[in-house]
Amino acid sequence: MLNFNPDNYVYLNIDHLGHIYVSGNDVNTGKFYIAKVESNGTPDGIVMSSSTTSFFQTLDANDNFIIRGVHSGSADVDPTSSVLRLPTRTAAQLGAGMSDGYILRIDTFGLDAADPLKFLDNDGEIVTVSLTGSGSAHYNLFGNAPSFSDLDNLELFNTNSGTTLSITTAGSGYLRAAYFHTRCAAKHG
Amino acid sequence: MQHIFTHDALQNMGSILLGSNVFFGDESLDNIPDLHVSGKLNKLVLGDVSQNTLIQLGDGLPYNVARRRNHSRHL
Repeated sequence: MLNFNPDNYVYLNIDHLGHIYVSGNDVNTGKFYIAKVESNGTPDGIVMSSSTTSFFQTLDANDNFIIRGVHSGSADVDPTSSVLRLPTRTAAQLGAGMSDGYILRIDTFGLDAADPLKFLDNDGEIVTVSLTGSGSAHYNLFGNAPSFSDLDNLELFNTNSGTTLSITTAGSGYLRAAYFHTRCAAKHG
Repeated sequence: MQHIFTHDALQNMGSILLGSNVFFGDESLDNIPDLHVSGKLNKLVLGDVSQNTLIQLGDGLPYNVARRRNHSRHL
């Protein structure tokens, strides 16, 4: 079960594979939360958060998750395992009564050094795709399946000569669905 | 694993390491690379490679070949 206490509203967004993204703010913790429900109704089980307040969340046509919100100080605005801190601005820079805003784009089919990808392939084996060093990747499984399929495409972004891509398989097993990874960009508002 | 490719022109990669049980390539007899790294790639390790796999590396990189002088002798 998803168990967080959103304030006022919950956003529900559905990607092209039928995954439901549940997101909202919790006034008790002062955090923004996001979680995913699989297309079969099973909660992902992983609730991600950032110490920000978001006013708007949506998915674009490419299943990028777009978050618009405000933050203060050097808070990590990325709710995934990656860390993204925007430059802090003084009250004088912001102006009287103004808050520091941000817009964040998260690739829900992305991976980077902080967010490796694990899934079950067509044979039920656990496949691990990991990046070390700079850069990120966008992936899709064959037939755009959420799991029990093979990797179709892996597109690499912003890598350099220090980046390592590793793909390994292990014996068959059970994986709790955890297909929410990140490749994000943010902009001050 | 069917296709791995870089996004930008002249985008470098350090290493691409595919495990021994990872089958790579889409088996299609076409001219679309299954692996395309537009810049330099330092290390490539492939596990099982499917038939007709096409690998393209280093688009437009300078072709550095150490040239040797050809000293011909006239007898």
